[in-house]
Amino acid sequence: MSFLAARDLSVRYGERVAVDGIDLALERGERLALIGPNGSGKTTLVKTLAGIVRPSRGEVSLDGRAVGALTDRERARRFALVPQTFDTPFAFAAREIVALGRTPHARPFGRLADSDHDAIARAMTDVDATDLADRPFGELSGGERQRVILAMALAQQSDILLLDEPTAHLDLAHELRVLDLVRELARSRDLTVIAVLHDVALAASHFERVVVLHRGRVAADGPAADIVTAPLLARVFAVAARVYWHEGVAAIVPRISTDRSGRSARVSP
Amino acid sequence: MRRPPLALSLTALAVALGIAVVAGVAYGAVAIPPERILAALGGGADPTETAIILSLRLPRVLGAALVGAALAVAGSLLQGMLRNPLADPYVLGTSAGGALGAVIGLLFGGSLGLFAVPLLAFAGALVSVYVVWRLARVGAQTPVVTLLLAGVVLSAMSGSAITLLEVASDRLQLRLSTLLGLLVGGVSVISWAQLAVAAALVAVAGAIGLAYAYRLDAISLGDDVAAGLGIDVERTKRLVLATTALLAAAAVSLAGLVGFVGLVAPHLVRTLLGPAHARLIPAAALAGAALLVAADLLARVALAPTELPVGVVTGLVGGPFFFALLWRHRAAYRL
Repeated sequence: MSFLAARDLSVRYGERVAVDGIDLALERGERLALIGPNGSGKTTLVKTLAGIVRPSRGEVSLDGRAVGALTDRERARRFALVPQTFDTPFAFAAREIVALGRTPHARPFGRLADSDHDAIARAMTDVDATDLADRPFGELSGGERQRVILAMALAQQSDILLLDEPTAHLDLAHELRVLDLVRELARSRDLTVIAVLHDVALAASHFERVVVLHRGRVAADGPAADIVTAPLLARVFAVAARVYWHEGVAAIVPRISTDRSGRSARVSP
Repeated sequence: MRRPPLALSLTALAVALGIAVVAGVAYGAVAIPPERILAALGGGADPTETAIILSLRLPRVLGAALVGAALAVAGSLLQGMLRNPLADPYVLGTSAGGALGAVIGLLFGGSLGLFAVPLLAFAGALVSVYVVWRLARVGAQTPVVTLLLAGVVLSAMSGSAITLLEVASDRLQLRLSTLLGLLVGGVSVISWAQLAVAAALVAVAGAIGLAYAYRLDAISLGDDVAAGLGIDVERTKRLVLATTALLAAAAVSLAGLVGFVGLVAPHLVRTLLGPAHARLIPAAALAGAALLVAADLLARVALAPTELPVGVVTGLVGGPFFFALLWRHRAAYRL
C-alpha cells in the first residue's frame, strides 16, 4: 500500500472538469514534479491532494486513511502547501509569517509553546532566513519571500510538502537555489514532495519522477528521462522541440520556424 | 522592525485611557477638580456636583469608552478578515444597518426597549455586514471599490429608512433629539443597565475576537494560505462577521453612527505593535476607547455650553484620516 494515493480522483467546478479520474501513488520520501500546460489541472490536483478542495469523485488516502476523514487541523499537520507567493496589506515581520506555520498546532488563543518556538527557529535556519526575521514581509525580494514562505511550510512539520509553482516569480539563480533547497530539505527531513512546475526542463533536471497532466488526466508518469521526450512535448504541449540531456540535466530546444510571423513552430496535438 | 512588549504597550494605553476618563469627568460646561470627583464618588460632596458626575458625566464618559472600544475592535476584525485596511463598521454601512434596527427597536420595543434596541440593532448590523460582504466579493477577493460602494449604498438606504420611520411615526417625533443623536453619532446613556448590557456585549465579542486572532492572521495572508494552515475559512469569516455585528450593535445602541474610530484606532496601533491580531485587538480596544473619550470631551467643551454630538468631531478628524489612507493606498487599489 502506498503512502499517499489518489484513486479515480475527479474535481468539477460547475460544468468544467478540472481533474478527470486521476490515479497517483507515492511512497514516503518520494519526490515528484507535476508538469502540464496551463489549465491542465495541476494546481487543482495539488489542492485536492491536500484536502483543501473536495473531490467530486474518488478519494485521496494517506497511510491507508481517507484524507477527507481528517479534520482541518489534522490535515494541515500532514500536508503543507507552499503557494507561488502571497501578499498581505499588513506589515507582518518575516518571523511572524513563519510563526503562522504553527497554526495547525496552535493552542487556544494561538499561544505558542517552547516546541513551537523551536520549530520556527529551525525552519528559519533551514532556509537560511534568520537574518530576515525582523524585516517586513512586503519589503523582501522575491527570492527572500519564497524562502520565508518555505520556512512557514516547514514550521508546519508536515510529512508532505506540496509546492505550487514555487519558482514562478524568481530569476534563474533563485529558482535553482529554491529547488536545491527543496531537495536538501526533503532528504534531511524525510519529506514527501510534490512540486508543480511550469518549466519542463527544470522539472526533468531536479526530479527523478515526473507526472504530466493534460486536460485533467495523467498523460505520462515515470522517470524524468523516459517521460520528457520530443513526442511528449509535441503531444501535450503542442511544441516541436528537441530534448538534450547533459550529466542529468535536461535542456529543451524548441524548433524556431523561419516563417515571417516569427512564431515558433507548433504542431497540433 | 522590533515590536515593543505587549504588556508595556497595553499599560501605556490603559494609562492614556485613565487620563482621558478623568479629564472627561472633570471637564465640561462646569469644571470639577479631581479631588471633588473622588469626594462625589464617595458620596460626600455637594449634591449638584454629585448629580452631574454620577448621572451625567460618568455614564457618558464610560459610554464613549465602550463605543470607542467596540468600534476599534470591530474595525480590526473587519480589516483583517477582508484583508482591507479601509474597512470599518461605519464605512461598510454596518453601523447604519444597526441604527435602523435600533430605531425599529425604539419604535416598537415598548417596555422591552433595553433589550429590544440592542437585539434589533444586532439583527440590522448582521444583515448589513453580510450583504456587503456577499455583494463586494469578487471570487476570493473583496476589492476595496466594491466594498466601499456596497457600504455607501447600504448606508444611504438605511439612512433613508430611518428618516422615513422618523417622519411617519408620531412617537418618534417626540424623540427627535434621540434620533439626531443616532444619525450624527452622539453618546446618550439613559441608564446604568444600558451600559451594563453594552459592556457585556463588548466583553463577549472581544473574547471571541481574541480567540480567533491567530486565524485572522492566517486569513490576512489569503484564503488559500489559511485553508492550507488548517483553518475553516468560511466558518471563521461567518463568526467574525457576527462578532463585528455584535460590536456595531453595542456601539450603535449607545451612540448611533460614530464614524472612523474603527478605522483610526487599528491603524495607529498597527504602526506601533504590528498587525498580529492577538496584540492588535486588545490594544485597539484601549486606543479606541481613549480616542473616543477624548473626542467626546472635545465635543462638549468646543462650543460650551452647547454640546456637540461626538460624531461631528470624529467625522471632522477621521474623515481626513480616511482620505489620507485612500491617497496612500490608491496605487495598490487602482482608485
